[in-house]
Amino acid sequence: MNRTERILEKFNRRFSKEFYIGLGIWTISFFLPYILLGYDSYIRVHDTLEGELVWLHILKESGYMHSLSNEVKLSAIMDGLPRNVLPSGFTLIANLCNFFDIFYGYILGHFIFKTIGYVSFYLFIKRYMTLNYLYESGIVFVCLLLTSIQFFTPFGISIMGMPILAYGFARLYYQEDFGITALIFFVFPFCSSFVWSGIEIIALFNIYLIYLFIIKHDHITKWLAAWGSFILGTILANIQFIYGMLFLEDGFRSHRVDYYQFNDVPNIQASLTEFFSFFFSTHYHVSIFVSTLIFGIFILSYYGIKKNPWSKRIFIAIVFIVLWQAFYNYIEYFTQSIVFIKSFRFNRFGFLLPFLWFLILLISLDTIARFRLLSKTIPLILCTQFLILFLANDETQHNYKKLWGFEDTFPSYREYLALEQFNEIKKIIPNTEENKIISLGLSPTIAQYHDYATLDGLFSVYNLAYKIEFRKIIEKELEKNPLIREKFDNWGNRCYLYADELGVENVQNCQSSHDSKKIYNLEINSDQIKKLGGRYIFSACEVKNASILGLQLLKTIGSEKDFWKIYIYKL
Amino acid sequence: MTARKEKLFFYLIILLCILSLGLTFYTFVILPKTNIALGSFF
Repeated sequence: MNRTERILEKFNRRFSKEFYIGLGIWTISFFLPYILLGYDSYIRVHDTLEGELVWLHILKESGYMHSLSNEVKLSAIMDGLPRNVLPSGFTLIANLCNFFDIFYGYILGHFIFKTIGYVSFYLFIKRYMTLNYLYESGIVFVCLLLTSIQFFTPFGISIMGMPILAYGFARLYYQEDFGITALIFFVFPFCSSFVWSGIEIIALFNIYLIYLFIIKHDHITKWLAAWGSFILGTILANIQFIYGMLFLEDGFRSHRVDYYQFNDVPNIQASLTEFFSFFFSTHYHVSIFVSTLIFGIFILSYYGIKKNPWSKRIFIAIVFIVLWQAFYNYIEYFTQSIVFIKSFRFNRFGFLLPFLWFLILLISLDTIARFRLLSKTIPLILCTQFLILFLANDETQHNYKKLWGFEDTFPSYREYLALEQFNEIKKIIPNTEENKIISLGLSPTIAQYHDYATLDGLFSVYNLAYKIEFRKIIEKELEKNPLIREKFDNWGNRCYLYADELGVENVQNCQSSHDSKKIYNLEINSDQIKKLGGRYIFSACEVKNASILGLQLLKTIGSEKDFWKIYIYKL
Repeated sequence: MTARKEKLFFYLIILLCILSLGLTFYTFVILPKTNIALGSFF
């Protein structure tokens, strides 16, 4: 038997025929819409096209993706945004977007991350779970369910990677070959988000190490080494962010220190609402409605058939995470003076929930599978869960709608980034650094994607002094609308040209041409825009009092048929 | 587990599936304001 045959045999021992069929179904169903629709496919706007993904484009175009220096600034963004407040350039998703463009980088990253989830979940189940009754295709289906959840690609395997992390922890627990375990812990941070999972994993890891050291008095050398691998991986993967956070020049003060999320003392009613909302629907960054059916199945199987101690433990962990999330506002409220806690928001343990819920589902299905009549409901449960996740996943839902020719008002990648319109706009206004743009009713990332210098933007960190200067532009509009004022003053990651008449209903403040809105009384400080270097306004709606504001309409690009109709005003 | 209880659980599971799917369908297909892309579906 030669080496290739040995490897193939090893694979065949580890992965079943059903696993390969599942992998094939997942691969085809994932790529099909993107291959057929291309740039006409839908890519999520929230925190993706409106933010994180375009940040990677900005970094790629600036050439500072892998720059380490704290001196490097993106002069085209705001007052010169330090490179090191933007996402790391050493993660997998950043490099995929750097190598390909953000569209293909996003799709490939999405596929890789979910495939990591699928394969590692299968391996985890096969190696460390005892499911005596559930048949193979049922197990594979549950693994496929993990690939169906709504998921934010820019955050990498923060959610999808939980099975592989659990696999690493199980290897540690059973004292298996340390090399692979250390590799898992070292590589994980390069594929995930520091903010969304890195900090939380380190916190949990620390708590467990303390438990091992003080209470269990266990031999913890390998645990410490794995912890070291994870810390080292985290530091290397996020070196720019950490370096920036610690050593950014004195003149820079993050706008996050000015966060104030409370207009009122936290109350029990709000916390209980948050508890039930988070319990039954989880969080839109993590997945939606993953728990509704599984919770019911768990209650039936646990209290009605057999009390499995593992599902109880996992359920307690879920309740604890949800309680932490629901009552975290009390912690935040009483620690407002501690800038570190205020800035980081340590309530993001929800990334563990989908994996934990699927573990409960597996155990519950195994319990149900013992009985002939009940076992017939397993395909129904799995298909229902799939449909729930399909409907709750905006990307699959909108892409398949577009593919099947259903009417879909959500913009495609091409439409949202106004690829055609900007070919024309660039002929009128070259995208030089002198021509600074401010956007009204459309996300500034659209202009940023087309390499325009912008005064506004959505950033998780920028200079507080700049925010104060920018506020002067929209001061009067903020006075008119308390909701927008609260959004900007107390949070302010979206440093946008807000207008009272547009409202904040659409958080992004984006008005597509379908809305055909007009602004009749815009009160912005044009002199302040000029002072900050602004030369043009790209507006998604007509400003009726433009002349009073000293704005000259140069041209309108696009028509009612397009997603955006862009009005170009010169200051 | 008795045959009667098994039958009851069988129907309960079917009911659970219908209810949870109905809730999701209502939230994401029927409710006009549901907009997961904006993160504001409640």
